[in-house]
Amino acid sequence: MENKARPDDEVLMSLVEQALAQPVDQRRAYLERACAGNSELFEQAWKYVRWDERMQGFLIEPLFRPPNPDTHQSLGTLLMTPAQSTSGAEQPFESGQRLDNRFRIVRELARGGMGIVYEAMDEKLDRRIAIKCARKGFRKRLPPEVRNAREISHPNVCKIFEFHTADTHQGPIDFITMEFLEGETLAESLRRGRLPEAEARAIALQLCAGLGEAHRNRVVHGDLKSNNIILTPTADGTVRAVITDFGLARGLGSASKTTQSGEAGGTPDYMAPELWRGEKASPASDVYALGVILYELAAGRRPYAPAVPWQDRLIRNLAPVDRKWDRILTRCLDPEPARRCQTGNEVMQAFAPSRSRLWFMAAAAAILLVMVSTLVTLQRAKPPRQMVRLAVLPFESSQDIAPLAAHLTQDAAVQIARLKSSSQTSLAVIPRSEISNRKVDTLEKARTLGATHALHGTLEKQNQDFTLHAYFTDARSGGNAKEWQIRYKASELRYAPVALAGMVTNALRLPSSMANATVNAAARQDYLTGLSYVHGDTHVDDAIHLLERAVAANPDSPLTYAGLAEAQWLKYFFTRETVWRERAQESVRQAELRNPDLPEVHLVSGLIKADSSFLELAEADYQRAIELQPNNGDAYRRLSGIYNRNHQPNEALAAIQKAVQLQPGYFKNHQQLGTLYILRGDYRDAVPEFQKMVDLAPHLAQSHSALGAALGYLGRLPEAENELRAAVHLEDSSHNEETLGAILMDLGKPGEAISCFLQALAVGPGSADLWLDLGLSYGRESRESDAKAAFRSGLAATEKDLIEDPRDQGARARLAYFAARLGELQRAEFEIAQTLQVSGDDSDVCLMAVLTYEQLGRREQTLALLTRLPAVLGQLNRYPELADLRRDPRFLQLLSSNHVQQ
Amino acid sequence: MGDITQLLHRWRDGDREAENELFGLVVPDLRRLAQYMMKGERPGHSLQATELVDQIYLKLVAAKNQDWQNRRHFFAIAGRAMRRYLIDHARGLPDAEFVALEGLENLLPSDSAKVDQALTVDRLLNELAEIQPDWCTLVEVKYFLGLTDDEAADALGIKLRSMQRMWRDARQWLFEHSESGHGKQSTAG
Repeated sequence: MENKARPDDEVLMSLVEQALAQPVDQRRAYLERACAGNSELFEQAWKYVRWDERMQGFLIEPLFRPPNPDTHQSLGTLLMTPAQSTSGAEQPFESGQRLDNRFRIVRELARGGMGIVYEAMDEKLDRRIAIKCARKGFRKRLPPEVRNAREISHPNVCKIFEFHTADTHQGPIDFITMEFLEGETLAESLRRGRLPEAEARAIALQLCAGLGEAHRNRVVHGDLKSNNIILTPTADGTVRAVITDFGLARGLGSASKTTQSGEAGGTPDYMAPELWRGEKASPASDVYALGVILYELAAGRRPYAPAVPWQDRLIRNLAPVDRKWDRILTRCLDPEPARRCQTGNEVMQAFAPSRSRLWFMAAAAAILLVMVSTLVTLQRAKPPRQMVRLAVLPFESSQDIAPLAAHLTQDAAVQIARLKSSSQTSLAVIPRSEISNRKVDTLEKARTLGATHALHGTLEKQNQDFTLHAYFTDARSGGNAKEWQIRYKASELRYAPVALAGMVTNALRLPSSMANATVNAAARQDYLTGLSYVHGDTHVDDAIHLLERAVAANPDSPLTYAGLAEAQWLKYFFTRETVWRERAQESVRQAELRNPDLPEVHLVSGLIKADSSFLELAEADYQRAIELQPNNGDAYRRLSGIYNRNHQPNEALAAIQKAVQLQPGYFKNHQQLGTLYILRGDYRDAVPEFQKMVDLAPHLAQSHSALGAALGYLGRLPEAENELRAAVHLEDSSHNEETLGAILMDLGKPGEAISCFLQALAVGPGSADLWLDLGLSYGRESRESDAKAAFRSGLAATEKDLIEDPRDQGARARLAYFAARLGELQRAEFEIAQTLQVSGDDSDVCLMAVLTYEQLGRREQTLALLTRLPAVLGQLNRYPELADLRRDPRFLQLLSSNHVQQ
Repeated sequence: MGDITQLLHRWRDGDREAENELFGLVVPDLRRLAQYMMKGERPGHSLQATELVDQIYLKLVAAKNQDWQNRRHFFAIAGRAMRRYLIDHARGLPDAEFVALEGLENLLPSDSAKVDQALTVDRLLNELAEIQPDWCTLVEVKYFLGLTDDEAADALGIKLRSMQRMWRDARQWLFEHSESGHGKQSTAG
């Protein structure tokens, strides 16, 4: 009975809430219905509703406007958060409203303390966008700082398109149009648990890249947190991590006063200690926040419990997470901003492997340029079989070329109607008659015909050329699965229908419309011979010539152009002359405008994309090539290269092993496999692969230099010398000479090393490393004045390096050593101390520091350093300069306690 | 300076002296919170009141003594302290303990009706504390400290819906009494 007298709070309050959501005159009726005869419940609920109407929001607003709980997730996050229905909340814009005669508001996505985010259609460009505007009472005008954020154009930063002002009855309201992102926040993803290592690392690299780009544009984020990062799936199953709200943290809102001491800004867990002290946000404080996010990625939790006061974060040592991450985390989360990495790019560099003895690696890695990527791919999941009902909509154009556009649409529809379904996708094309009879020309109308997808676009004429802009759109969501733009000359326009069919097969992963395409008989011989030259990395000029002839004999074929592009690309690779890259790009365009969805075309298109660091796109090309031709070893090898650049070593290894399995007799596969082993530190496994490379391609200098470098790593110096001599014999490059010289130094032949280094200088520019080795060699030959001259040149080269990148700590350490050798003791002392402050755990830096301290006669410092970083001990053998150190009993003690042999 | 846990216990048991001692402990930090709140929202600096109170609490309480019961009491005292602090300033009577209020006058609600309302609520709360102490605490954390529904429910250790009901009850009581007493809020309902 007691219960009956006091209805359950849960039931009662939800009834009241529901009733209040009704229009005033319907509330009573609603409650009567809902209470279904429970008069007790009705009375209670009705009383609360009446009171609510009477009180009119009395005391609802706190005395002072509290920090709105929604601001906890900042605006960008709110893109992801379902809108909260706040009754009576202000509505700057309404669904269906058009702003600036261009943007149609679709719906409110989310609102936060500061602003409101809407989904909208940009009707001019026919694309889905997000619109963000400030909330009433905060500000109606956006401050100039936000405008800087617009300058950032990077796949890992949410793109801000434009700033606009809408005239509304509430007065002018500024709003931002920006990229529409679908997905979840990193915070949400982490709430489900830790991410797999590869995925975490992939996301980490993307975040570094995005932040780095912002810092390059002098934009500070100011409120970076996992809630501000959106993981958005891309059309081909990859994940893109996007940082949102750049510049908005400081920009949106009240004019920033000088921050008063003791006031905290930002979200506590991500706030750098200096922000707690009231300092202004800076790239370094962004790096701290990034560090917290990286920690979350690595450990699945934040570095400090919220309970740990910031003062404690100054002294508390971070609990180690994972060997691979700890060094980077320490460099981001250092309480002292000056000791942190200073920008996102620096953090990214910290992910790269140590540069230790990079010169050795360089020869082997000639093909795999080791660089950090900005994009990353996760394993694509197999989607369930989908039923596609495709509408080919009329291509839009200006009046004068309308007949042409109509023709194009018609021919494309014919081509597309011929496409075959796959086991994954069943394709049905809506008949042309149906489209034209009902005058279907928009996505909405296409939907009424039951279309799930639509192909549509525009054809524009510019002077003599045409630009075809095609979209493959999911008719249900309005999202573009593929977007494609290509330029046609008038004479080439006839290829466009087949190319559009290729776009469809690509987007839906259907079999190619030109499966088993070949070149015609007139072109065949030249085509095959040219390709075989390309395959062997030889006769590149002949290859270009033959393939140009093949193109002339069979100009309609995408294959001849793809082959020519490969040859031109190889030429570019050898010469680094940009004209060849441009020619290759043009040939790829020619191939793509004929049919973009052939394995040969994807393979060469991927090369060009990878060269521009569009690794994600390149990977999609290679994956598609494999889909079309599952036994394509070239595709696997190139895919492996992408994985390697993406720091996915296991995936890289698996892909190249697959390539070796498919093409065991191809030297490039062994070369790449060997190189991957070297990068992993598996020198022993690398040697047989490079040996096979030498067996298969003994005519190539790079075979011998790779084998020589690997042997050098293993300490098999005489064999290494032989191979490098063979390499130099085949190709007297600066690189081969330098590597040979380094081997000779290790062999204790400084005199011969000197001639190699001098030859290297004669055929190429001298690097600081080369000058260092040359100086050391002169020193070992007791040619002091020559040594000094070399060190002086090295010092100058290093100073130049440092102007380009003042934060290159390896260069700074070298500078210290050069200074020490040149008698500039104070400078040496100063530089080495500075460098150790910043990069004291970098083994390259420490090695240089040991050499420098020994040169300065600072044995205590040397020993302290080696005690702290015993990993360096193993590398000291190479330096006869350290003979005195090696006699020191304390050093010997260090060696034995660390089980290092002299 | 007394052990804060002890003080909280004594305060919970109705010890007024403990309340004053607690105020002395929390006020320097609460000042920061108050100023923060009075400035309203500072975008990008989205500390929530609840986080700040937590920080103050954790700073004051030795780790071993942290338990949720005490944390709740602490929220209550924070609400109480904030009420006193804000009301003193609304009255223009800065307490010696709350010095250094740079520019506070600019931060007070410009709307004098709102200040009047706050003074009325404060006066009525003294009465309410006698009959429904929980309601009083709730008003303090909601109206003076600015906690959200979820946070307030958490701070009081009750279910969200129960908190919402209590909040309606408390507002109704205050509304009714302010209407009859001062008529300022009269809406002729």
